[in-house]
Amino acid sequence: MKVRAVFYGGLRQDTGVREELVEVAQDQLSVEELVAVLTMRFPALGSRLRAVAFVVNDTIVGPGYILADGDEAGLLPPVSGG
Amino acid sequence: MSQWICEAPLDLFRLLSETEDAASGAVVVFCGTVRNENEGRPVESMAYEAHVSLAEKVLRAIEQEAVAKFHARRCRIQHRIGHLQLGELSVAIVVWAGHRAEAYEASRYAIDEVKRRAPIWKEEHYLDGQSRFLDGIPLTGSEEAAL
Repeated sequence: MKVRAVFYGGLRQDTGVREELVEVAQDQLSVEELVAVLTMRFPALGSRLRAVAFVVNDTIVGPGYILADGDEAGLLPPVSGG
Repeated sequence: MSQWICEAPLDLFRLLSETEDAASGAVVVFCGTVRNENEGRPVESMAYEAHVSLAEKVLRAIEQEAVAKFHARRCRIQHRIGHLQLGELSVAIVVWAGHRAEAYEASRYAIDEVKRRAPIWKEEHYLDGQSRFLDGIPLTGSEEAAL
């Protein structure tokens, strides 16, 4: 299955990319497992991921949320609008 | 252009006319603008980015909450994204209410919640050519909830 991780705000600078395609052999992937993959690929994310929220289909989801094939997971760092 | 997230400059007078309410006796307008310095460092411009679809959902929820919690009559919030120059409006909040107390309270609530819950990020660009995303507030997962 494939999921697309999209980086927002300063995370784009940390990773150097806007988004990352993650392909795994298993047929489901939790947000927690996605975090593990992204941490290996982008060590610079490091401890910043602790303060990151994940959004799937316009809903913020927890680490146990199961992603479906083709899902897009947005990584939202602490916000600073206004 | 979205009703909540705009790439074009915010049109405050249009927002006021769209929300006009004859039963209100007060309207409070709050705008955030791009300031020329932050923490003593001269700022040249500001870039705003949003998770647009979630931001729309959150801003709409905040509008509904501001009306319901403070017995206001109408609330509209618009936030700008893209590259803004000094003095440009980054956010505009219009609250109509029967009396000024409700309008002020609802307006204050709305901007505080926008800063706490809207998935929007600002990157300051400085006169010396450097830039950085500002430290912010972590989202908790209750951002979309209305009431």
